Amino acid sequence: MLPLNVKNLTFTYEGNDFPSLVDVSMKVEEGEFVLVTGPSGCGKSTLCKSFVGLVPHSYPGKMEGDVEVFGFSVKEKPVSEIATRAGLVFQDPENQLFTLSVENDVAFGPENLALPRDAIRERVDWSIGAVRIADLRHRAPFELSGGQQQRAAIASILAMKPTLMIFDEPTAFLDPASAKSLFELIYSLKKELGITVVLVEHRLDMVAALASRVVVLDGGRVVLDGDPREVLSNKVLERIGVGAPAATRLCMRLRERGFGLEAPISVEEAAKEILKVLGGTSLGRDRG
Amino acid sequence: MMALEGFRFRRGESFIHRSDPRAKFLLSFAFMAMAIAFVKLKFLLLILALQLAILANGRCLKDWIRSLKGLVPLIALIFAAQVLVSWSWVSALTYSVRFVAVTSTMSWFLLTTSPDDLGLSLEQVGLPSDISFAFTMAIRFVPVISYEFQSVYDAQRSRGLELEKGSFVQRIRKYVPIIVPVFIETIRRTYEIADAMEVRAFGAKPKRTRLNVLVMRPSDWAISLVAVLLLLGTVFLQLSNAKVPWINA
Ligand SMILES: Nc1ncnc2c1ncn2[C@@H]1O[C@H](COP(=O)(O)OP(=O)(O)OP(=O)(O)O)[C@@H](O)[C@H]1O
Ligand SMILES: [Mg+2]
Repeated sequence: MLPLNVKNLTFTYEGNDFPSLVDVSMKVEEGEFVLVTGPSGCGKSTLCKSFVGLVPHSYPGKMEGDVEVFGFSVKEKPVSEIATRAGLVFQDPENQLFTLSVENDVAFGPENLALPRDAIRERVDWSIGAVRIADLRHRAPFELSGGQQQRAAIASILAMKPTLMIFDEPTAFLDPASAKSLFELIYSLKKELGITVVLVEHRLDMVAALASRVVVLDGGRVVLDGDPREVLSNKVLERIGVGAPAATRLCMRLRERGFGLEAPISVEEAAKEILKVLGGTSLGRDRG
Repeated sequence: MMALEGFRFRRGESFIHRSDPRAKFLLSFAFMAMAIAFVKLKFLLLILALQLAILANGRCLKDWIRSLKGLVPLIALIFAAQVLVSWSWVSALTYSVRFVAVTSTMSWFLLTTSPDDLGLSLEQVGLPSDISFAFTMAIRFVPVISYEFQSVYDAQRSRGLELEKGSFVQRIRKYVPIIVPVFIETIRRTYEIADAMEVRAFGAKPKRTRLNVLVMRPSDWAISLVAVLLLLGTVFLQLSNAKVPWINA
């Protein structure tokens, strides 16, 4: 069963005279790590909302086509039911923490599912352990750093036990160091728990190497979808104002000058490529 | 904003922090009823002293003093008005102390009670969970929104908005560029919070279960008993017109 199957989705928010998504089709297979990117306002958040049924259930509008989550149309299931299969983490951690302790926040979802107390406790223990904040259990949100808050928000979604996790620019409010460690966490969660991940992000330098596939949106349409190397080295990115990773851009520039380089997606790969054409190998060892 | 500091929960491990919100509420209510019913300086000072002892136990005297500083203008107003009305220093002092005693009943209760526990206790006394949850959230987000107000205020002032000048009406109108952005931001926030609640299945089941449940301990029953006796005594004295030295004689 496909975690996600978007079929010709077109969506216009009520009150708008333009669609926010236009004929979007994409499939996400089990175990994939799909990176979704695109310029500001291109419909990334709207797409994320449609993956969990917030669009159209909480945001009325005109919807054509369909989104299937594990085989069920989001139109036919309430958001609360989809939530046990597909979890969505938002940008601003502050708005995802409603209570005065991490423990209560992580318990919130399982409590809504009316699980017995022992089961709730088990899920809380497991979730805060998985995001490595077990020691912050009794802290209030305002006693946590942004990165810790976002980990708490992720734990609160993990407690719903979804097998598909969607992250909508989860590091938008974080400094680069915390962002990097959050991406590492997301990657390790995917590996350890075997979940499927869709990550919306514009900090491509940090995440390109994690993704198994990249989807680029522009003006509500899918303009590119495929292997990270191919997508990120595509000329279209520059035209629509999406900044490919610096390493990729550098090597593409060199390729235009006639060097026989492959498109890299990380600094390490770029270093290797460049050394290859320079004919040296020893330097690569030092640089790691 | 300073006046609010004395009403914002601070985590702690003291006896009063660990006491059941229901018991604390009863006691706080009893103090308030007494302070309103008996306008006698000696008695009001006694009530105030007892509450100071509670605040000291919770190690939140400092927060209380800070909020008191914020309330100074109001206290001064009450004092001045009373001097003008009754021409009595004692009466002016009495009414000022009464005001402090009454606000303190809320202060120590809120300072030592986690909004989470407050919501939980409301739920356990039978309030529907949406209402008790709305209540908890309001308390949770008041500091967030007041912080936002402060930053918009600073930003607009740094752009040259002069809030101190002009007539009363002019000054009120100058707050528009502060209120409007904060209002819009708050609405946006509300949507995001609602989304975040939905993806965690809020409202999925008619009755949610809870991880933590409040249990009344013997000391909580004792506090409640004292509070109920004090309340009964207050009602009795009010109805019977009996005069008791120290309290109302
Ligand atoms: N609740 C809403 N009501 C009406 N229009 C909306 C709503 N949310 C988004 N839109 C519109 O839909 C379009 C896509 O917005 P969306 O938030 O999905 O883009 P995005 O790619 O997530 O942008 P960003 O990079 O800024 O997060 C925008 O034109 C936006 O104005
Ligand atoms: Mg967005």
